[in-house]
Amino acid sequence: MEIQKRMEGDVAILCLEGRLDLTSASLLKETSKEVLSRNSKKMVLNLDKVDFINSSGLGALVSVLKEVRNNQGSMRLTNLAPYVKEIFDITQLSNIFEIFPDEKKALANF
Amino acid sequence: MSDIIKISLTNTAFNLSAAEEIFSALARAATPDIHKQYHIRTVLSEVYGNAYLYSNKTRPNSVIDLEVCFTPNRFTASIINEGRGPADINSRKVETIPAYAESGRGLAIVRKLCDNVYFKKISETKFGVFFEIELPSVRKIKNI
Repeated sequence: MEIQKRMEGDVAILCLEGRLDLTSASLLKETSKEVLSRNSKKMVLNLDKVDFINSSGLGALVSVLKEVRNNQGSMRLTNLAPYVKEIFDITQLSNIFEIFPDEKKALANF
Repeated sequence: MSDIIKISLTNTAFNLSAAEEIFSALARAATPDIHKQYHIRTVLSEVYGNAYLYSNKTRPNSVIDLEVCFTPNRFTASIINEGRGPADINSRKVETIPAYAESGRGLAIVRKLCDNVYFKKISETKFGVFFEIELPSVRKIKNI
């Protein structure tokens, strides 16, 4: 997995690419911690290029969400492929994440 | 007519990564239906991941056996690892998992995506997960 980081105003945007699974979960958690340590309280995770996710990847996302909220921050997900969205729906995680169709809509709503 | 593939992998981090590539290839070989390919890949990944984590805790460097059988309308597989298997395996459902839990969703996903799945303690030292996913006939597939 590769993660590209950039800032849009005060919002940190992380673009994930590749598989989000057991082998990449720790990279996501470490990258998010690094972003939070720079006092970025607003975070958008763009999953457009995530071609596979499993429960370990979901666990990593839940971990990051809790970390962000513990720092009084807010986190949003965007650009979920249909298969990725299906896994969120199956596990009912669509209920706890704020999910937007694209970055523009996620940023407009912060 | 069916085709069978058998693979044995020692539970190392390298093989965990290699297994994900194998699952992707097996899913593509099983069906041209992209939606079902994703289901097959996800179920294999979840079951193998569980076997990997569980074996790693109790029996490092043991072997995980994967057997896959293809027919035109059905994908069946078994994943057998050394160990006794999780104690609460039959009670793991999405509804019972706390919303903010960071683990425990894998088998719930497997139950949702498989048409049949069962868990079996094969012996004192071996535990297996057996599952089936029905495949649509090629004529009905729209997302190739």
